[in-house]
Amino acid sequence: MVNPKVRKATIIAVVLVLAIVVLRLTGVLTLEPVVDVKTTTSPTLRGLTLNGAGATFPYPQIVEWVRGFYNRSGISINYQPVGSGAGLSQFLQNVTDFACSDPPLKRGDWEKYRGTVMQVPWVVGAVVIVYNIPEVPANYNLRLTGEVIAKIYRGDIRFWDDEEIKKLNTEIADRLPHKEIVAVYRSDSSGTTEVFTTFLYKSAPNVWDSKLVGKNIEWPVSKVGRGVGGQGNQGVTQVVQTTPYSIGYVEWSFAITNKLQVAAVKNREGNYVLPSENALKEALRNINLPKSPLDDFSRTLEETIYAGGPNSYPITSPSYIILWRSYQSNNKALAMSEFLKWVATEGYKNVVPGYVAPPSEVINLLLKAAEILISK
Amino acid sequence: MIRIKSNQSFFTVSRHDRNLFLLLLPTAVVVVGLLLITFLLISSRASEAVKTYGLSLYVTSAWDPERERYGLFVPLAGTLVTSAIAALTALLLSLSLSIVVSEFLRGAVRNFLSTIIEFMSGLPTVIYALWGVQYAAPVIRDYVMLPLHKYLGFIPLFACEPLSGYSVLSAGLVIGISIVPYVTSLICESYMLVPTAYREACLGIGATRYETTKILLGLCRPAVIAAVVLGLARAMGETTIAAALVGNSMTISYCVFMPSYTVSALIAAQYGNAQLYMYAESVLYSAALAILILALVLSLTGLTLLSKWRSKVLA
Repeated sequence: MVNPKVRKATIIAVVLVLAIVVLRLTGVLTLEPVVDVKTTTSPTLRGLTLNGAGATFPYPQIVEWVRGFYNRSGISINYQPVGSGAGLSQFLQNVTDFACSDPPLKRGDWEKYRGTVMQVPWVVGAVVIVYNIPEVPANYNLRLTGEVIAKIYRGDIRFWDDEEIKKLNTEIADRLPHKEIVAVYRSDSSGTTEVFTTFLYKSAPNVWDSKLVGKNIEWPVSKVGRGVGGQGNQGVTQVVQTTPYSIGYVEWSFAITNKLQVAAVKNREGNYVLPSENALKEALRNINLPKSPLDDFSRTLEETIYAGGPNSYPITSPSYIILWRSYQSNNKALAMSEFLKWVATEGYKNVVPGYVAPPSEVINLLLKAAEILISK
Repeated sequence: MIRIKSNQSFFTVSRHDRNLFLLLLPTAVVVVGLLLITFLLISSRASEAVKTYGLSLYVTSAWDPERERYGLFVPLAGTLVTSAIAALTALLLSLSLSIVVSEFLRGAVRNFLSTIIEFMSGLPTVIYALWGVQYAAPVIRDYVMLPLHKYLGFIPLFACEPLSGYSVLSAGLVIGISIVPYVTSLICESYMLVPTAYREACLGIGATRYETTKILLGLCRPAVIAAVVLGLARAMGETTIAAALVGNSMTISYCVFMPSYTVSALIAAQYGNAQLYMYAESVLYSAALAILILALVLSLTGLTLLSKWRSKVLA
C-alpha cells in the first residue's frame, strides 16, 4: 500500500505538470521573455488599460491589433465582442472607453452627442452570401441578384431550379437540383443582419420592404417553415455546412476560414462580383465620406451598401470605432490617441484575411481623430 | 461523541451544537430564499410586458423588437412539443436500459454500465449540443426523418418534407438522449425498491424472466410515470441543445420535421441585446415565468407521485 502522503504528493505533482503543459500548449504561459517593448510612448502610459466593447464583426482584426499595439506600447486594450447595440449602450453609459459598431450612430443620437462623440469607419469587411448545393461544382460561384436573394428570404422562390436562378447561371442551369431552399439567418440581434437586409431593400425595394430592415427582423421565409436561425456567424456557418440546399449570409472572414462556397452578387452597375480586396476598396471609393470624425456618418451605411463602381462588391460594410472627443483622464486620452495613430500607420500593414484596409480618406480621419482627442 | 436527543430544544442542546446550527443556518436559508426571490424577481420583471400586451402575449406569435411586437405562442408550444418528444424518447430508451441493467446483468458488467450511466448524467449538455449540431442533425434528417416521411407520410406528424436536420424532432431526440441517464437512474432505483418477496413469489409460481419483469414493472408503473414527468420538467429547461437544434424559427406546425423555437432557445438568442428595446427584456421574463411555473408544477407532481408510491411499496 502506498503511503497516502506520497500518493497525495504524486497527484499534486501530476496535476501541476499537466497544468503547465496545457498552458504552454495553449500559449497562455510563455517561457520566453516578453518581446522587449520598443516604446515610443511615455513610460507613464505603460500598464494602462483601455476598455472597449461592441461588434463581433471586426473582432478578429481588433484582437490582432491589440496584440501588436501592446508589444509596441505596453498599453493593453480589453475588447469584449458583445454586439454592436450592447457595445454602444455600454459606451454611452461610460462603462467602456470606446465602442465598435457596424452601423454608425443614428442621426438622432449623433445630434444628442454632437461635438463630443467621434466616429471612424476603421475596419472594412463584407457580408457574403454562402450556400451548400452539392450538385454545383466547387470551382463555380453561383451568381445571384439582390432581388433573387430577397425572394428566397421571402419564401417566394422555393426551389434551386427556379427559372430566375437558372437564368442567372446558364452554364450550370441543368445541374441546379429541384430541391427546396433552406434560408439560414441570424437568430440573435446582429449588425450583420442589418447590413444584409439594408442591401436587400436597396437592391430590390419592390420585393423587400423597408419594414424588413433591421438587426432583428421577422423573416417571412420562417413563416413557411423553410427558415432556420443560427446563433452568431458561427451558428449560421454550422447550419449551412450541415444542411444541403441551404443559403446563408455571414461575415466574409467566416466564409474564408470555413471554406464555404460564396456567391457572386450583382452590383449596382450590373456586374456579378465576388468579395475581394479590390472589390471592397472600390465600393468605398465611390462614396462621399464626411470630412471630420465629428460629422454625422448616419448616411454612410446606406451609401457603402450597393455602392456605385463597376467592380465594387455590393454588400461592403465598414465597422465603426466610436469614441469620445475628450476623456476625464489625461493618460486615457493620450493612450487612445496613440492607439489610433498606431492603427493608421502600423496596424493597416497587418490586416487579417476577410478585412481590408480602408482608403486613405479614412486613414486621414483616424489621424485627425487622434489629433483632436483631448482630456477634460 | 455527542448525542442529541430529538426532543431536545434549541436552548438546551450544547453550546457547540447550537453554534454549529447557527453557522449552517444562513446558507440553508439562502438556498430556500433564492428560489423565492427568483420567482418574485421574474414575476415583477414580467409584469410590465403582461400589463402592456395582456393575454395576447401568450396566444399570438411575433418577434419583432424593432417595432415592439411580441407574441410567445410559438416558443411556448415549441417547448411543449419538443419536451414531449424528449420525454417519450427518454422513456423508451431508459425503460430498456433499466431492465437490462437491473434484470439481466450481474457483477462487473453491471457495475461498469451503472458507472457509465452515472458518468453520462454528469456530462455538460453543451457536449450533446455540439455532437447534435455536427453529427446528429444530418444523421437524423437522412436516417430518421426521410424514412419516416417516405413510409409513414400519411400521418400528419410526418407529412411535411424534411428540409434540414434542424427541427422539433431533432431537438426532442437529442434532449431525450441527454435526459436518459437521469430517468434511468430514477427508474432503476424504484425497480430495486420493489420488495424481494414479490420476485420470490413470481419465481415460486414458475414465472419466466419476461413474466417476472412484466409483473415487477407493473408494480413500478407510478414510479415510471413520475420519472418521465420529472424528465419532462428537465427537458423543458434544456437550453443549449434546444438553441442549437430546434432551428430558431418563429413557426410551429403539426409536423415535427419543421423548425420551431423553444422558450429557452429564444432567451439564449435574444437576451444579449434585449435591453436595447423597450419591452423585449420583460417579454423574455414573462416567457421564463411561464416555463418556471410549468416546470414547478411538473416537478411537484413527479415528486409527489414518487413519494406516494415509495411509501406504499415500502409499507
